[in-house]
Amino acid sequence: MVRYVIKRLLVLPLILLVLSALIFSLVMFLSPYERLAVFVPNADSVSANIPFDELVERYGLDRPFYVQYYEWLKQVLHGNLGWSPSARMPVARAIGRYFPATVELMLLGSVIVFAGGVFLGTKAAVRHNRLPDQFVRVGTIFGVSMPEFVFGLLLLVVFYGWLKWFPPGRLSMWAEDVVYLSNYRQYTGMNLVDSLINRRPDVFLDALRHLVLPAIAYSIGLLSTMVRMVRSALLETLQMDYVTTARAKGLAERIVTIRHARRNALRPVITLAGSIVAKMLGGAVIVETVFNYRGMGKFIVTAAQGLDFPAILGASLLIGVIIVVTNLIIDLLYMVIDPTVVLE
Amino acid sequence: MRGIRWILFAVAMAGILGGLAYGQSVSNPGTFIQATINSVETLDPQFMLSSATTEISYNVYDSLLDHPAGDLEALVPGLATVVPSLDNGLITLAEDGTTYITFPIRSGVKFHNGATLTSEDVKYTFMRAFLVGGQASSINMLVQNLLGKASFSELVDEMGYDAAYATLDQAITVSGINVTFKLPKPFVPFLGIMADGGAAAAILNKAWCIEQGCWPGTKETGQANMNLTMETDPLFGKMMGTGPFQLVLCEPMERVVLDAFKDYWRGAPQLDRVIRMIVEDTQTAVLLLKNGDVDFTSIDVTELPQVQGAAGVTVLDNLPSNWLMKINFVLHISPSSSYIGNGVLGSDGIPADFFTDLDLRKAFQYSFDWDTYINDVFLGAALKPYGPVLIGFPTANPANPQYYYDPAKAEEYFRNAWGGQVWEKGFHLTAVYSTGSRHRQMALELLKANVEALNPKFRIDLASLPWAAYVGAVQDKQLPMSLFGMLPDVFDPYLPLFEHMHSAGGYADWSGYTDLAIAKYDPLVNELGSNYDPARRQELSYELQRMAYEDSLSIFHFQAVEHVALRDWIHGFYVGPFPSNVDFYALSKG
Repeated sequence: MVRYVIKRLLVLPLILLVLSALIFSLVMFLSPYERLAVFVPNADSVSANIPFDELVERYGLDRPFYVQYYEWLKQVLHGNLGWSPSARMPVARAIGRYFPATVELMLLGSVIVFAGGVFLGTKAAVRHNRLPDQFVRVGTIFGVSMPEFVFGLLLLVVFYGWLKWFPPGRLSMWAEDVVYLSNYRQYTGMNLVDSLINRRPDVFLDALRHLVLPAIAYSIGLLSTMVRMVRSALLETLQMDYVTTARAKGLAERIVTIRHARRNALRPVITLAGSIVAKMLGGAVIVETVFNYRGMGKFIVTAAQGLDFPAILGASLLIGVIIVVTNLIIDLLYMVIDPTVVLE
Repeated sequence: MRGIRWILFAVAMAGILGGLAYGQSVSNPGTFIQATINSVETLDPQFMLSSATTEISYNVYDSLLDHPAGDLEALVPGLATVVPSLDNGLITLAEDGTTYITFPIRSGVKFHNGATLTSEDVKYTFMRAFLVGGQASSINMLVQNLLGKASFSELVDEMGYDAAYATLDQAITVSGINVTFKLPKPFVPFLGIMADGGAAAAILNKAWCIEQGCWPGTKETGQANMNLTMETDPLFGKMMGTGPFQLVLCEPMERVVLDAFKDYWRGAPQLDRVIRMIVEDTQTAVLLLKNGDVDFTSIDVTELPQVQGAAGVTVLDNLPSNWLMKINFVLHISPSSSYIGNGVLGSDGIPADFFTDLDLRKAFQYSFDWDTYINDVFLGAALKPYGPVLIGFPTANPANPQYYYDPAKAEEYFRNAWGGQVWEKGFHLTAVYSTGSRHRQMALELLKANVEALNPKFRIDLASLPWAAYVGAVQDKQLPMSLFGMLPDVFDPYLPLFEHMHSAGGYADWSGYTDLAIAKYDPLVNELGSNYDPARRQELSYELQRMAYEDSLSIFHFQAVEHVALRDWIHGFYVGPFPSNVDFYALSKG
């Protein structure tokens, strides 16, 4: 297994190199003026008084493709992902800033998706065609069809606008003062983790309070998909002969369901889980915008719209790493779930 | 179990009632919180291109002159003790036109780090601005009029670095507390540029700048510091001025935090702290405002009903701003453009010089329905411009001849265009807007509908390009029409007229009328910039506005108004040229 893991990880640099070259060459199809626009903010404020030609030369946008790619690659190998004009900071710093925010959202969202999905899917399958099942099925239709933007705004209006329970943003003003303007140290960039390390439970609770609504809005669609997947997989498994045998042997229904049937029903779920995690780590631009919770989604979309190719490349490398590592973890999980699986 | 249910019910009720009670008293006393969609592009005032970012600079820095609150025509002393004029002898004109403008610098003014302002700081500020290639439009104006070139780099290319540096060094001289600028010819808007209140003309502290890694202020080190980029600019993320607020924290895409500077030379501000936070969803910003978590935000016209009448919220609507948009005809389109079809006048294309015909341009003017556009796109909340000089600017002429929607006149001019060929053969072009820009899209859709209704042989297709590609296409003269505007940040008619009509103004090159500008407009614009006589300036401005009408090089399709909403506990707000840019020093809370 160790050899398998190493082999998979060794392919990673090659994948990243090909990916970066591909994206770089696509960006180079654009003229220097088009690529310059990311340095000129706000479409409506642009006037003819800006020295575009001089800026093209200043930012080296008219140099040949291979020169620009070589310069970029050299920087990357020295740990420098370049400067992101759209984020107004080095790419590495921008990723370091926004990726932990997305990880936090992903973690809480994953708990909702996986724990909620498995729980509700199991309930629905076990109580097939009865009220809990009907309720879950209607709920999942709602969850899948409701646009994120609409649902997010509804949550915000009700739980912040009316009830004032869960405000938008990552932290309250007083907590931001603590995090950014005191001797508080940021270790991971994740407020939930750093607050505990800094022994600030008040900041932890504040961060959690700000995470609730975006996590719910973000995960509702994925939760619905997970519930349906678990439900249908478990329904199929519950029809299997070995389940009938287990029941015949006198085992309690709960043990039959959880220890025997559900374990086997989770295999397709794990496959889906991998792509869910990878998707979530790419950020959610709509949820981030509605809840003013800046993460990777907004960063990537802004970079893409502005043709900020250092940021696009940096984000692509990160996503490439995430996908490769996630798929590897899934394959390893298969072995845990089903010992008969052998990885070659 | 029942007991637990009662406890849970009580907790929920407490939460609901507490939530409803929340926000009735002043939230965050002493701290002004502004929600804005505009992120910070840089903290270096000499590189600021966006009016939204200059709001920060305006409150952290000071300039040599200033305007009284809300009055952009008057000038008052700032870091200079007197406003220079011909009358007080601080402006002198030599016979050859060389102009000397002297500013006596105020003593005892402290920077945020405790250093004292000197005349050397002023000289360093402007030498640095030109040397590093500051991109703010005011800096570009100053370079052109102080050095006679578009940039310091251009001067270096022409005469070599040593001579160029000597020219720059001699253009700004210091004698005791006085700083004197030597201009090769009079430049009337100069004082207005110096009165931007701490934007591009913000005065920096020389020693602090050098500590941050900026140009050390010597000739030997100048060349290595020329033409900074965002990532090489030491002041990209730093500010330190003499203004009423000092920078505490800047996260460019999230928030800027400013604290009051108690030793401000005009007196300590009434606020303790200002937080300018980025909230990109305007619905979220409205909710924050209503809940009192934010004190001020700009409002889109479609959101006005949500805030008008809201408890504790004051709405100021239809505030004229300094943003004017125009549809520019490109007289010489690139022959390789994919937006002109086969490049021949007829059902499959237009020639590259299609818009050189004056009758054709006038036909398009009479095809634009301003009333419908302003009502549909802005729900009535925009202004029909008089011409290139913005409404509210000195010498803006409401009596200037105007185009208006008139299908009959449009048809008359189309029939005359290109000797009748346009009407007979028809034409087919593609008009392009930047993706996501609703006002651009609607303007072109309206034009398309009205033009095509006149003659079935007329065809205008619409296409959109991402912003980056749109700018590139404009630069490459690919587009038959470009939709770009003006945001003059100095209250003088010279700037918009220069930008729209002068051969060096940018639009002449973009739209292909440089020769026309050199022959017809440059002499008048140059005189407008150099003549101090107000009566003559008005005469020149009126004449240029009339020419803009006659030559019909652009459809001036709207001047924006802004709407802002603020909490009732905010006092002292006044409306400036960009209403959503706030003078924090004037505010109090409570």
